[in-house]
Amino acid sequence: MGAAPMRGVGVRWAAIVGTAFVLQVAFLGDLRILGVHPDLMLLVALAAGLIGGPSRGAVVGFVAGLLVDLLLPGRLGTSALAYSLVGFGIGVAGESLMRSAKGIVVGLVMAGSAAGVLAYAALAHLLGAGSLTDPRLLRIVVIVAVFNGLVCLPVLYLAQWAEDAGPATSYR
Amino acid sequence: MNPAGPLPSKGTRRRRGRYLLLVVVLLGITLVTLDARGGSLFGPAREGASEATGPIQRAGRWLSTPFRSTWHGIRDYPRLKEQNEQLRDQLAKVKGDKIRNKNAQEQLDRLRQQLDISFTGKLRTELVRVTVGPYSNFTSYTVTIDKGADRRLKVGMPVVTNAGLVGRISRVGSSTSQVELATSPNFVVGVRLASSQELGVGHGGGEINRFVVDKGISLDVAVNKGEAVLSSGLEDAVLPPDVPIGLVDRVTPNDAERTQQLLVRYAVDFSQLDVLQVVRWVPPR
Repeated sequence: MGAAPMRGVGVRWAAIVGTAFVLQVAFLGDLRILGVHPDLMLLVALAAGLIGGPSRGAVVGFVAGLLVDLLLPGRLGTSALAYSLVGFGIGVAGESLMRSAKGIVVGLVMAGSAAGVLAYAALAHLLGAGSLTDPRLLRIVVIVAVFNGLVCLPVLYLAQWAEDAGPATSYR
Repeated sequence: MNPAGPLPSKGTRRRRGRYLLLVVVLLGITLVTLDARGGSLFGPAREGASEATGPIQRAGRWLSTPFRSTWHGIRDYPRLKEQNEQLRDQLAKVKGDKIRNKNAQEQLDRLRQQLDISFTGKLRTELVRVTVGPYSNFTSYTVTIDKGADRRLKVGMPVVTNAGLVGRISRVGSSTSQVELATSPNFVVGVRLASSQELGVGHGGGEINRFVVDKGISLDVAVNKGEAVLSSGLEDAVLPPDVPIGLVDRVTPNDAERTQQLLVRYAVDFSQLDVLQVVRWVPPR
């Protein structure tokens, strides 16, 4: 892909990540279900991986996670690492899919969301936060995965717009 | 034909992807390491993010007030119903006591108005607002307030509401500060029981949403449910004396250590933090 189209993709992804960050801070941070808020930034990383491939997932996940890290009291870079890893991982998983029916994609997003929360918890735990022993861990995994599964389709459409992917890489 | 040249093969793209992941992971590890080493490298970025997101969050809260009210109404209905029943019981009891206590209460109220007595005493306070609440899904026990070094706030200053202890300042930026909440298991403070004046040591209970006093209260001390627990303010204390922490909710004897463990219901509702006061008191070093 040439430099100019790449720039366009970058600008579109920046717009999506920025909008998701504003929505997360303004609305979703307060929308707590059993004390857990949805994680739109993680969903954006997963959408980037699924639609744009592993590299895009890693980069968008890193940027999205870094923005989240700026608001968290833990170590800067923890969410960035976790989100980039799951963004890359879901990209690899998405590439190996034989068919991309909606149900499979939603299932992948839910599994990726659960993996993202667990990856963050594991990294934060390694850094002394004790997140893996947090009694709410299972609740957080389930609620984030279910929420992301429910709202993933519009975000995936946006990811297709960002990639200007066309029907060849879109899910059906 | 592709104007930018031939497309890379699948193998090349995978190899590039792995290199990119390696770079991103190394970058992440570098950030974590630099942050762990302390210093003020990322302080301005975090402070900027906190200041930038404060107005966004406030605007979002304002816009979503009707929806949030509805949501909280649905979600909290069983709890509110239970609280309502408890309050009805308490109201009936208060009505019974009202006549007996009326005279004494009026005298006390007048004295309070005249003397302007509060638990902060003569200590000056700074009104602050919570800008960013506990953002993490995992328990973080922190909130960010909208004032910092610009209002001469310092690390260690207690943060309270009129009801009692909220926490203490753990990090100060130029115009925002981070408050470690008293619910944090790392929040350790000397306490005093109001009736017996017995001294002990307690810490935040984390997820159980109770302050835990597990040192210093011996088995022979009579502790009743509902007894007030205050900060002791002894030498080297992290809080000034007589800051209300809460009321004893449960007493459990620990026969092995010959002590009692007290679970204290916080005086402050940590789910409703908005306007707070920072007490201009710094712990002695």
